[in-house]
Amino acid sequence: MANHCSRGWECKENDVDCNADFETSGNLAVFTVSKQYSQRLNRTMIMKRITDAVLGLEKAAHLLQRAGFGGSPDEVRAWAAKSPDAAVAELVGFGSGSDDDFGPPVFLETSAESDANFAKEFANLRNLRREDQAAAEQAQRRLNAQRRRVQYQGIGELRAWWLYRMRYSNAPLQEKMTLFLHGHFASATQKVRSPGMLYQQNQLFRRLGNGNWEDLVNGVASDPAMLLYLDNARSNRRKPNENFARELLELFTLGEGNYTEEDILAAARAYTGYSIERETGEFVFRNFMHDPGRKTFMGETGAFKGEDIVRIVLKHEQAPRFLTAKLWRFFVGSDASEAQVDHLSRVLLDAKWELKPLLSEIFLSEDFYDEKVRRGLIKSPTQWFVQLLKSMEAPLPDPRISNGILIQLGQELFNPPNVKGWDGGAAWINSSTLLNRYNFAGALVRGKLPQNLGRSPTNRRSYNNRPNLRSVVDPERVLPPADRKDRASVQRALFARLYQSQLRATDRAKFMEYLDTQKDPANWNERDLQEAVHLLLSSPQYQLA
Amino acid sequence: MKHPSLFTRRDFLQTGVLGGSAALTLPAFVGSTMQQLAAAEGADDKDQPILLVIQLAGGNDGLNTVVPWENDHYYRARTRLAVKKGDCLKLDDEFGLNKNARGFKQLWDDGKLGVIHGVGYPNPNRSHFRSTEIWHTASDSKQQLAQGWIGRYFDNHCKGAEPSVGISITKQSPQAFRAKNPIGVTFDDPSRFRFEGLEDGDTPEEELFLANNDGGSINMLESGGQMKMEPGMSALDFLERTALDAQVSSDQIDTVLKAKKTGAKYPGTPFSRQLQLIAQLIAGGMGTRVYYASRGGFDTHANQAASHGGLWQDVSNALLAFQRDLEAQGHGKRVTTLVFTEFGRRVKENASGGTDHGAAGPAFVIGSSIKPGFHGTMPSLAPADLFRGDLEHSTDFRSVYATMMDQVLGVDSVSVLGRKFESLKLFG
Repeated sequence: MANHCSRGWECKENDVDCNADFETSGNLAVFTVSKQYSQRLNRTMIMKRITDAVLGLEKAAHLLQRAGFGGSPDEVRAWAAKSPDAAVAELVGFGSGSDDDFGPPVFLETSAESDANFAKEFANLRNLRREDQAAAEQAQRRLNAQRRRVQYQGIGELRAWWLYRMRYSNAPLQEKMTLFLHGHFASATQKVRSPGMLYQQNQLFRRLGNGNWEDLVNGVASDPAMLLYLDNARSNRRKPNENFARELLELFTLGEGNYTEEDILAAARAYTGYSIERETGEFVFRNFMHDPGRKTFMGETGAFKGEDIVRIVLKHEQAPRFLTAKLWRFFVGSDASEAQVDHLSRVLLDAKWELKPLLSEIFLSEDFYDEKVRRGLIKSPTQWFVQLLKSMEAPLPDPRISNGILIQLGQELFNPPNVKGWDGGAAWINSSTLLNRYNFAGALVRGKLPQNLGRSPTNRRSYNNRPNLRSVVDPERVLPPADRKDRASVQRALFARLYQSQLRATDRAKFMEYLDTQKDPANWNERDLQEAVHLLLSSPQYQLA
Repeated sequence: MKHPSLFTRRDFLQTGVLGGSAALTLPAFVGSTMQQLAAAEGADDKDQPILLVIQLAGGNDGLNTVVPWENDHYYRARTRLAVKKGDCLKLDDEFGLNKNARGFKQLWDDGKLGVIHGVGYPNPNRSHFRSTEIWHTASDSKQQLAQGWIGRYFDNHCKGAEPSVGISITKQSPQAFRAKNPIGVTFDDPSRFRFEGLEDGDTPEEELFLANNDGGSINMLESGGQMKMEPGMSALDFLERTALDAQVSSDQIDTVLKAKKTGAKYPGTPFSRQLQLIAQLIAGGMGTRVYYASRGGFDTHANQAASHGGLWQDVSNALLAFQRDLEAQGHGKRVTTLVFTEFGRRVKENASGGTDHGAAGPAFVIGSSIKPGFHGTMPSLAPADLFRGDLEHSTDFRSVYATMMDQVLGVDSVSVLGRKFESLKLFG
């Protein structure tokens, strides 16, 4: 009797130890897990799961910060009461969140029409060029500038929209995975000017962040923003462009050293014709550009298209290791050991590249909650910013301020510095960025507009009206009367909200020493509270999640 | 910041730890660590050579800067935009400077200016973003490198150095500074490069801030002051050390800048203020090896005649003032300035009174130690010799970088550029 594997296909062998080729089904491919590799991994399932009945405050805080963007003390308390299984299932299932909670970014309503109009105008100019080149050139320059302004506005809205989702989503892991995938499958507005395309790519990540890795990779290979960014839109059989093929293998799926230059060329040929419809910005497969010939890729030969390349790549032993190692690094903050990678690769392969089991395995493992892991990850600028607001239960400031801050801290959304994305970890921190974090924290806490906001073309400082900035510290919420009855209460409340940990004895002692010099907290005004909060945020400890 | 100004990390450690808040006894290894730190900071920072790198952002039009005033092709290609023969400041039989670049003319006459013809790279890229990236990372045209060339210099040759080993007077850290071990200080306004939010007399606040940012536990001394995350080092250790370094750099710069200004006269434009700041930091004894500054506005697609002259008036006068200031302070021989742009512009003017993105163009070197005059070969302007309407490069920009590494900073250029590029004979 045929079994159905987790993807619902008939298979010829037992599901758990499958090593046979499946039949292709539609556009989706089949894969083989080499029996030897699978058996080797079988022996290395070393990671244990936590066995607590409920998460408790510390684990809950840790989980929320890593799988999302943290939370307020109330949220942490709510999650602390859940069982690990229930909590992780909710996170990994992207449960309790829905697209309906958020509308699409504003520019989308008009972008299709606007894009069409611009396309028409540019077409007109091509005619004008024949009659009067000078006038056409001038008009073209003006039209370009106009379109750029519209695009910049759209990108600004897109950023604001995503930050809003990160701040308010009830499916925090969905937004966190989107952020991970945005850095992994990097595309940048520097080259991909269209906000519509970048929105589409972002939605792809959002939809498939807990889906199937093969679907994701194939989705990215047909994503207009990516095809544009890596020069595949014009790649054709006469002159195949290798850029996308190279990054697919080197950065997206396998890592250097696991393929040859010939493999890259074969893959490039397979991806010829994967292009973009100029008018609409949608993906289109152009037959006449595609190289239909036979290619030899990683030892297999056939008239391969892109999906075949991905199918073959995922058979490589390194494929699951590459992804699991990178995901571990992102969520845990340090490198996984070989044994851990073995274990997680086995989970991923058993699940036929579905990401949910892998994510669950990570978030339920003892290793994830290890003492050395907790408070061991340097927050990315986005994490630092969103988490600050969530922990204060404060709204987002003006998008120009948000983006300016993120630029200065080194992470402009939709504009990673290159196709490798962001290095992360210690790379976020140097003297300047650390001081900037302290000073921006001060600006947000005191409600004073920062002077040195970063500038990108999409974040021009030519304010028609200067944005206002309200303090993110609401005294009623951050330090209600109950928490002001003595200095120890103040310290406990502020540490709980800001650090979500009571830290070390020395950290508490330093702050108590400071509190001893201050007046009775019951008499603190707004400024006194702001000052204390600012000081707590201006520390190495605050940079850790 | 009210606490005593602390000049080096070494000083701070000695005062902080020994004078220290906690009852810490110094383990034996600290002594050797201090020695390591001392060695890393160099025998005498005050006489080490300094490189200043300036980007003219936007793609400066080289042909209207270093004008081939005798070349018919030039006048034929730029019937409206060419600098008239009578207008340029003649340097020799073939070339003259844009009439607004008086500061450079003076530097030329003083024997302090070197002009390198035709600087560019194979397979030129005409995108601002991409070409700037190529210049900053010293990559090949088709390569994508993450670290900057100056960052690789920091990584390979400045181990244990203070963060202020590189200072960029810009809003954002330049890609050229990007290093595996993040280092370098960036600020466009020195008053910004400090912890804001402490007012005078805020002693308890200051105490708490310092207590949180004084480097923390003694463990950090073990790694000899290295600015990177070593395996086994916790993220907190790394952050604590960076916090300490930030304090020290901030103090250093604050102290240096509070000292008397050098008294030299500068034009007063924002760009010249950047240079004045750098001159002051040098005069004040900072141990910085590389400074970086930038001046934008060079993307002259339209109506170039209206803006290009003004840009050069600013740049040339500021650099003249800067060079004179350095010499007056006795630092003329130490400092070499390199001025570059991410690409030149097309030979033929466009229909909007401007020029479009091109390829090769001149780069400039300024200093008392350089061999003044022209270097390299001017590319041909004959239409048949152009590459898609652009000048062919005759000097790879990485040769210029190699020269800076080998002959200014005195380090092996191959370790910074990845392979050997012939140095130019820019120094006597």
